[in-house]
Amino acid sequence: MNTHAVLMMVITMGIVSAFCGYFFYKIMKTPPRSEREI
Amino acid sequence: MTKVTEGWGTRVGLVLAMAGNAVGLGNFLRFPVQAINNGGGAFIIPYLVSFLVMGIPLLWIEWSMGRYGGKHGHHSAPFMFDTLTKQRLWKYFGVFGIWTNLAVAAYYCYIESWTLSYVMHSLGRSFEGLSQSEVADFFVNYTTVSTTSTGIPFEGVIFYILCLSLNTFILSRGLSGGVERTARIVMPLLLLFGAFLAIRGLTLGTSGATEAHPDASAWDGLNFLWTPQFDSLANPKVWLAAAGQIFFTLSVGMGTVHCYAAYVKAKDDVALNAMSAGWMNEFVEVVLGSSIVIPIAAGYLGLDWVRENAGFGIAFQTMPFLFENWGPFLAPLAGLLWFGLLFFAGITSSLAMGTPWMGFMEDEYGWSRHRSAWSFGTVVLVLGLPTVFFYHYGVFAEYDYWAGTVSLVIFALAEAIVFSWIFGIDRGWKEITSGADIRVPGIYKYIIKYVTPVFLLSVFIGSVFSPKNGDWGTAFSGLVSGNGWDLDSGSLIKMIQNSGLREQLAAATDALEIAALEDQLFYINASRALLTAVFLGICLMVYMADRNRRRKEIAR
Repeated sequence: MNTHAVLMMVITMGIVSAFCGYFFYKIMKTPPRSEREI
Repeated sequence: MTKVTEGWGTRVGLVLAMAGNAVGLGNFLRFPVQAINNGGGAFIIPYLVSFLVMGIPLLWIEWSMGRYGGKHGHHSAPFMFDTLTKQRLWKYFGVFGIWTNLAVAAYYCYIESWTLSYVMHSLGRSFEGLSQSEVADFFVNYTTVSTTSTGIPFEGVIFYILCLSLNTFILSRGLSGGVERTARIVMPLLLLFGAFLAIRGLTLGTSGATEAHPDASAWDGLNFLWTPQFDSLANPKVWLAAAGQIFFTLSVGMGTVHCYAAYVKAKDDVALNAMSAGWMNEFVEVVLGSSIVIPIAAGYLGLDWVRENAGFGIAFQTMPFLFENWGPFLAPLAGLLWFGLLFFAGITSSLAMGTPWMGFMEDEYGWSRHRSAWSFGTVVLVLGLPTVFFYHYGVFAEYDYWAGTVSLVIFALAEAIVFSWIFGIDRGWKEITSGADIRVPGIYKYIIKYVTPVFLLSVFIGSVFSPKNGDWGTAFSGLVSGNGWDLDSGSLIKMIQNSGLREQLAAATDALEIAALEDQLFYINASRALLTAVFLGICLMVYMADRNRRRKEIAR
C-alpha cells in the first residue's frame, strides 16, 4: 500500500474506532437516569 | 390509545438494538462500492462531514422526537408529528414513517432470505468446484423462482417465507423479550464474524494471485479505496453520494429510530445513546465494511475487475467463488461467517422495520402485540411476493428506489423542518439536551436549524434534477449557454417517466426484446400502483385514527 493510503486508512479507522469505543464505554459505565434517581 | 407496557430491558440492549437497526447489508456492500465510484480515499471526507452535519443532527432529532412522542403515548411517526405541531396535515408526512418500513421490509426480507439460504449452501458445499460464472448463474437461478435449479423447488419463496416468519415471531415476543434479546446475541457475533473476515482481507496481500489473474493484489484494492483524490472534493456528485450513503447507513428518515426511542423513559438520555449507536454503525461500516469485499475481491481477481464489477452482486455472485480458494475447511467456514454476518446485519434492521406498524396498530386500534406483529408479517408478505416472483422484471429495484431512497429524503426533510422551525429549535434543543449524559456542543443548535435542512434540501433537489452522468459542471454550463439541462436517466423526474426503459423500448427492434421490455414496464407500473395503494391505505387509517381520537376527546 502506498503511504498516503496507509495514513488515510489508519487515521480514519483510528478516529472512528476511538469515538465508537469512547461512547460505548460511557454507555456501559453510566446507568440510565431513571435508575439513578430511584 | 392503549396503555403501553413495552419497554427496553437495559441501556446496552437499547443501544445494540438501535445500532443493529442502523447496521445493515449496505454497511458491507454499498459503502465500499460508493467509495470506489466516488474518488476512493477522498470520499471519506465528504462522508464524515455529512455524518457530522446531517447524520448526527438527524439522529438527535429522531431520538428526541421519539422520546417526546412516547411521553404523549405515541409510538409511530404520524402522531409524533401531530404532537409537535398544531397543523394537522403534517401528520400525513409521518405516514412515510410507516409506509417506508413496510415497503422496505418487503424486499429487504428477500435479501435476508438469500443470506440464510447461502449459509446453508456454503455449509453443504454447493459452490465446490464451480467456476466464477457458474457461481454467478447459481444466483440468477435462485432468483428465477419458477425455474430454480439450486436443488430445492421454489427455494427463493420457501426461504423468504421462513425468514419473514422468523422476523414476525421475534417481533411478537416484544421489545425486550424479542428485539433486544436478538440484538444482544447477534451484534457481538456480527462484530466477531466481521473482524475475522476483515483481518483476512487486510492480510491477503498478493497471495491470491493466480495464472488467470497474475496481478491480483489486495493492496491494490486498499490503495484504490484509501488513496486521497482531493480534486474529487469539488464534485457535487461525490457530496451527494456521501450524503446519500449517510442516510442509507444510519436508517434515518425511516421512522424506526423514532419508534425505538419512543420506548425510552421520559427522564432518560437520548444524546449519548444516539452518539453511541451512530458511531457503532460507523465502526462497522468504515472499519469492517471497507476491509472485506474490496480487498478480498481485488486479492483474487485484480483491481480492474473490481472497478468494472463493483456492485451489490459481488456478495452473492462472486464471494462464494473466492472463498473456495481458502480450502475445504475454511471455504464453508468463510461462507458461514460472510452470509451469517449479512443475515445478522439484515435481521436487526428488518426487526426495526416492524415496530412502527406495530406501535401504530397498538396505539390507535388497540391491537395486541401478537396480532399487530402477525399483521405486519401478512402485509409484508403481500407486498413482498411480487419482489420475489418478478425480481428480474425490476419490481425489486422499483421498491428500493421509491421506498428505500426517495421517501427517506422526503421524510427526513419534513421532520427537520417540523422539529427546528415549527416545533421550534429552542424547544427542540431542550428535548435533545434533557437528561443528556454528555454535553451536546452548542453549535449543533445552529447546525440543526440551518445546515441540516439545507443539506437535506440539496440532496432532494440533487436527486430530482440530477444531470446526465452526474456532471454538474457541464449541466450548469449548458444552462448558462442556453442549451438547457440534460437530466440523467436516474434523476427523479426521469424515473417517474420511466425514461430509461422507454428509450430502450424505442430502440429495440427484436420482437422478443420488445415483449420483454413491455412486460417489465407493466410490472414496474403495477408495483407503483401497489405501493401507492398501501400509502393511501395508511393515510386513511391515520385519518380514521385521528377522527376517533377527536371524538373521544369531545366525549370527555
